[in-house]
Amino acid sequence: MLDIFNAFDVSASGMYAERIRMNTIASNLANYESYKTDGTPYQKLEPVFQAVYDKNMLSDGLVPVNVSEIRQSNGFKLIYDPSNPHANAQGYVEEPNINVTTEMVDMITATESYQANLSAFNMTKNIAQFTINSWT
Amino acid sequence: MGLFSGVDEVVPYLDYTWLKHKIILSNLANADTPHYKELNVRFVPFEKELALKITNPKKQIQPVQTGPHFDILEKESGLIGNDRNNVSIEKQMAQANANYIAYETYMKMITDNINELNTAIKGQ
Amino acid sequence: MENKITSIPDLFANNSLEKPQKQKNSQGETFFDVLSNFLNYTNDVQQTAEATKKAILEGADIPLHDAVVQFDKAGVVLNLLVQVRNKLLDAYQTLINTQV
Repeated sequence: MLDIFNAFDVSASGMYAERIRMNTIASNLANYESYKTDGTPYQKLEPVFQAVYDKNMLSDGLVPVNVSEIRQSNGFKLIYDPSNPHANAQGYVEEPNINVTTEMVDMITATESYQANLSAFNMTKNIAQFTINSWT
Repeated sequence: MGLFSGVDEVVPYLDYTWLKHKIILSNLANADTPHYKELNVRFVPFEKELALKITNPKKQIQPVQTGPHFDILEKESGLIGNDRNNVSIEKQMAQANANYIAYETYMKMITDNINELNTAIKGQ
Repeated sequence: MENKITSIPDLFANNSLEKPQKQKNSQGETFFDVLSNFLNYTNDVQQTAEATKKAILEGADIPLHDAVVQFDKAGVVLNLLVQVRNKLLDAYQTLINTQV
């Protein structure tokens, strides 16, 4: 309807994207050392963000963000540990490619972005309320 | 009639402030999008529109989108991370707050002008 | 000897009486011109506000501050119209009640 609702949608898309990222981080941390039933390691989940450049929205200054897919990465860490039941013929174990530090930093970034988007959302709401209140 | 000349003077600034707010929202939503470059708004005032002198053609930044009085530009420089994203959340939040104050100021100018007109007309 | 009145002479024909002219202001407009300009302007402002209202109800993308400013302008212009009408009525009453 009004231009304001599109502005709300942009902030909401940003918050949604960051929440998806938080979910994948939580999954990755929980499955830090887990394996699937067929013996292959857990594949790290990565969300792919994409900016939506639509001509009409761009001339209005609005560029929402879209989570195009949640990718399962194919990389694994190889650790030499022959006594491990999952070791292959050469004695190497394939472990999920998850670095705890990286995940924690990503989590902090995601939280910060989420809060910034939320704060901006509230600001938009205040602008709308102020405008309507000033209507004689 | 020049009845609303005071109001019409402020309205373009109000439009600019609102557009800037939306740009800031877009920048914050895309703060983690790879290859995304920060967007900015350039205000082309009416009088100077036709008289813009290009001092150095190579330095002229090409706008992503041109409008009647505003250009939307992509910022080339700034700190770039591994994902080629150059949005600075802190700077955007600072601009958002300043912008909000500007919006309230312009809106209040217009509202007060309207109230003055109404009071003068009704004679009370 | 009878002098019948055969015709009424034209008082303005050969003497110095001036025909009453319509009063014009510095831009050469009569009162009627100014009034009709004002009415047209009022109508335009109100039509714009009405069109904006319709567009919003039909779902167009119109910034909120634009709509509020236009509605405010329509209110001012309506107040002005009502006051002008009152003053004109007062003037008419004064003229009608003038003792000749």
